[in-house]
Amino acid sequence: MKKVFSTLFVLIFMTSSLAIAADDALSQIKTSISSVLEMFKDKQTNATPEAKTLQRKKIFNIALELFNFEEMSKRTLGKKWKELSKDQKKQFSHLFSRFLANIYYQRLEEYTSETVKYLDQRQHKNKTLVKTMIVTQKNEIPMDYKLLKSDRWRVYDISIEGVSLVRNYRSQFYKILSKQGINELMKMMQQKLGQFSDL
Amino acid sequence: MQHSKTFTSMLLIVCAILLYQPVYAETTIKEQSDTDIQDDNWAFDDEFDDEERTIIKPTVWDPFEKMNRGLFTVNDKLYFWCIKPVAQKYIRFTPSFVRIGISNFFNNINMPQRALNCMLQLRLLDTGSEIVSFSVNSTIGILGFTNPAKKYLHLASHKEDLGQTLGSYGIGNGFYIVLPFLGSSTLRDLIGSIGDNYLDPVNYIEDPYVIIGVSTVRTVNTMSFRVGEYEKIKEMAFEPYSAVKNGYVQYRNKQIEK
Repeated sequence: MKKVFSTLFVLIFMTSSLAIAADDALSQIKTSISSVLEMFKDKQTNATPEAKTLQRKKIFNIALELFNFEEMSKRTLGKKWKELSKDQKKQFSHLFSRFLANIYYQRLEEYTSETVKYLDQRQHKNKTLVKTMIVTQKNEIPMDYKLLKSDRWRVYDISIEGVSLVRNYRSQFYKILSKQGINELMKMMQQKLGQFSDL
Repeated sequence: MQHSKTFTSMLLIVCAILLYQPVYAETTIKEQSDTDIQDDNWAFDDEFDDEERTIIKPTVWDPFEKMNRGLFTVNDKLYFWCIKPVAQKYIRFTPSFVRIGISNFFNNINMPQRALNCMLQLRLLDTGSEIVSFSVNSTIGILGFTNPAKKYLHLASHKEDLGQTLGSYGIGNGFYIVLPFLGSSTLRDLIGSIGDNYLDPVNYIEDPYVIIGVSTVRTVNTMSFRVGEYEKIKEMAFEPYSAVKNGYVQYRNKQIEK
């Protein structure tokens, strides 16, 4: 029943002018992903270290446009976010954004040979959900993006096979924060970042 | 066989008693966060608004956390020292079409579990689709080694199990448990998999050695497609135990919702 109601609601929304705004969200994701995938494909041609660092810089800039890292950090820390000082907030979202960008693009890099299908989008006030499907040889992996509109549409959460990143990291950070505190957590993040070839 | 049956039924009774309390606890939580659920339906749950509740409330009850963490470490070592090397050797000597064939075969003979669970969830169309797939794959699909039902009839199999069926009836997770070898589960899902075992044709083979052999092939073959997944999870995690626990529960909730 709820499903029927929500589909009806979506239909109404889709026919209304708001659909144009939602289209923006979708096209934003589409262009960001495809431009990054394009860059990965280029990799074979410019394999020098300088070119690579330049490429990584470009990718991170695209990430900054695609993701709302501050919102992600806020949602991930939840109540604890309010307890942080201004500097800590800044430092945390900086670390977390670098970490997430690394993770996200590492996954995307693995999927370069696979196709991304854009299935569906729904808008609800200033939020949009975009559903995509990564089709590999053996199976299909649903990947959903949640976007929030501030000055533009930006992603604040990604769900892979129904597992929301924000919620998952929240459960981890909560454990760490309750035992060790924010400084220790940030130290751990710095260590993790060292494992990646930095973006 | 007789003995194991009495044992499992006793186990079921014990579990049922244990389940009673947690189920009750979960329903009270559900009532409190009614707005969450409505928002979830929209998939726009505004977590930041009610983070005070969500951050305090863990996703699943974990009364045996100490033991679970121990078993998590054991499974971690098992994976790197045993399962991964075996699966990698197997991948090297087995062409991928053979592996896919074996995976199709086991998937096909598991039809009773999926069909029955679809039926228990009153999804009759899906039940029918499972039966049609089985008939097509077992005959034209050469004993299920290929999957023409998916390729030509576009009938995908429904990954339904008893844990999901119970979940769809509104039964909560109970508590989280890490099983040696098998990994994450909850009381509900564990009971479910015990029930599902009765529908697994492999368990009806007479010779116990054959059962062990067949199960080993099935497990190694399944793992051959999943080598590397756990490493990725670990790489992404700051607290692997919580990451896996939360991921498991979120994933199962999504499956039940479908």
